[in-house]
Amino acid sequence: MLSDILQSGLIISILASAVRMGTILLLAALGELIVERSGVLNLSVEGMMLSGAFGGFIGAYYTNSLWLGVLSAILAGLLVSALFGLLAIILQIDQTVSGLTVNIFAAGLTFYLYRALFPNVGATNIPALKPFSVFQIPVLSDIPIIGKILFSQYALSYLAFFLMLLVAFYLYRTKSGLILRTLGENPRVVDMKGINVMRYRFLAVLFGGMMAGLAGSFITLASVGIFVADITSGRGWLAIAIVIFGDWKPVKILWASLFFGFIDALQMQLQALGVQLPFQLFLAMPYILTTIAVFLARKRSGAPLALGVHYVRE
Amino acid sequence: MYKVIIKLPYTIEKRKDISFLLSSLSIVVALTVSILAAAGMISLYGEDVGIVLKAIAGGSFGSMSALIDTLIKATPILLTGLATVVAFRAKVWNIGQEGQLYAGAMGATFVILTFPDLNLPPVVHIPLLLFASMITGAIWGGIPGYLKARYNVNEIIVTVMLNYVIQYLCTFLLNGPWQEPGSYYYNTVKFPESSFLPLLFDTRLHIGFLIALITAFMVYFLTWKMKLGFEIRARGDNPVAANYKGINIQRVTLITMLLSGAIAGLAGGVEILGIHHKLIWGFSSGFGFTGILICLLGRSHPLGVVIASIFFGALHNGSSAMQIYSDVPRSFVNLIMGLIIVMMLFWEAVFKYRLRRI
Repeated sequence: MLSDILQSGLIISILASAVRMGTILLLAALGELIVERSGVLNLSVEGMMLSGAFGGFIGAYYTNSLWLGVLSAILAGLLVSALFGLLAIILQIDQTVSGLTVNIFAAGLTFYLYRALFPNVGATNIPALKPFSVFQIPVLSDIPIIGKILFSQYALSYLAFFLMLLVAFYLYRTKSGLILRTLGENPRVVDMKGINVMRYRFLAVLFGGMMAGLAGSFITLASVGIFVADITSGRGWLAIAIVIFGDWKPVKILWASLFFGFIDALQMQLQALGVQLPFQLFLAMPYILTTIAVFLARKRSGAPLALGVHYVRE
Repeated sequence: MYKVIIKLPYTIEKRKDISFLLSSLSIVVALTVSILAAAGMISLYGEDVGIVLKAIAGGSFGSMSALIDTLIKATPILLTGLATVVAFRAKVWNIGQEGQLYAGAMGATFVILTFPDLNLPPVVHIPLLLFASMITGAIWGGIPGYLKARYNVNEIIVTVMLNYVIQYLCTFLLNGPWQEPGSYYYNTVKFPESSFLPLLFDTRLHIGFLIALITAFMVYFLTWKMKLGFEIRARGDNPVAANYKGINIQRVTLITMLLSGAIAGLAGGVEILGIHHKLIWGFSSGFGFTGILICLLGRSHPLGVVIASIFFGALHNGSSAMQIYSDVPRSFVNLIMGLIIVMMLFWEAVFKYRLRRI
């Protein structure tokens, strides 16, 4: 069995799938990074991602275009995050309560809409679509090993890497990024500069929603091609954990995402190989490791000081 | 270039406190808006709104058996709602009720399967099993509680993760050592009769509902009449001030999670001993998560939670009748539940502001 696992072909396939699963998490985590850096603790990532997964599936199903599906996923994430923003930022309801509420709402909404649109769904009759296929980058994908792992991915994975660079550039090399970071540390300073704190934070939340929606569409449109209730199965929460584990820094978040993607991929591969261990143990692995990860990350100092605190003007 | 500035003789300002009357009014407004929205959506199906609403009401309160069913449905979510109240009052964000409920059900099952020949009378057997449920629930809540208290590890993420872990552990056991021999499904053997919760007034209603009501009273008593309850609320209101007052925040955090987990665990025990009489996969249809909803809807108050859980039990029950009499799917209830809670938060926040004449 061990020799099977060590076969290079298998390792490559695990790593390639690690990149795929990791970039799903990366997209959502980057969105949450921006939101948290602005000082807002958004716990509705799971709900926004689920809405994205649903919106993406529905959009693609009815327009027969996967990319229009991606667009509608982004839109779905945007709408749900706007609801969160309304509750948590404009109405200043406790951010944790707002996040939990939006999650419950999104779960109920997607479950209902799915059943309403497909009343005859059964075990043998699940509406499906043909998902994205991998996009092999010419020349680069011919490089041995690395080409298979990094350059034979879905377009959304390349996009995730690109967005990571963009987010890092925005945060550390632009004026607006500086303002955003200050917002998370000391919003009063930003307010005194005459910048609208609420508006800035609201925009950050909307960005987070779009990213989570995009990540959600990745699940339904690139991995499986179907939608089921709770298809995100905690990945939104994983994204929040990744932000903590990544110490609120883009590059560390990239590594953390890839690590969790690797665990996910490993879990699937070992299961597929029929390793003689209960498969539930593999399924539980990402969640156990996430618990350990947030425990290990308990001394991380990168958390914005004003995270989760409403800004009240004096 | 000049701007036209219109000065209204009013200004919007935030109230310091929201009165009980206004708070109640916000609930009424939220419910009204939600029901109107629901009616609007039902009419989109081309259904007669009156008939559908009548079906829901009839299916939930229309007859004695419907009412009993409603109370049975309300029982587990009443308990998980109370578990949430204890935690949220302390602003310890326990999202792990679902997992703790599983832990509780598994605790009772463990005792039954490990000691099959106890031959205890029900008066001893049932309390023993429910106690086991509370212990395992408390353990599953205590892990994140300890991590939070001792190491300040984010309890939200840990409780969410542990929800998944215990459910996989449960499927493993139900697909392995605990599975009924020869069964194709994920379930244990039927429990001995001495573990069945007694039924009330010759109906299907088991004493779990009474237990839940008593728990509600105990949670009320604990939170408002006891020192520990004061400490729990103090932690929630202002942990810094509470600390200065000499309250050991870490201790309160851990105790809160243990208590919350124990109550959620009790919900799991009551559900399998009262309804299924065996541990069966899918015995909880998200009772833990619904408990969070119930707590928010019930304003984190035991009495509010009792009312909210019966209301949701009724909604669930009525949805079956609705599905029979119309084309509206049962999942409609999930949407309405989400809508109501969003509306409640929204209107309560809106009522916090008032217009004042300048």
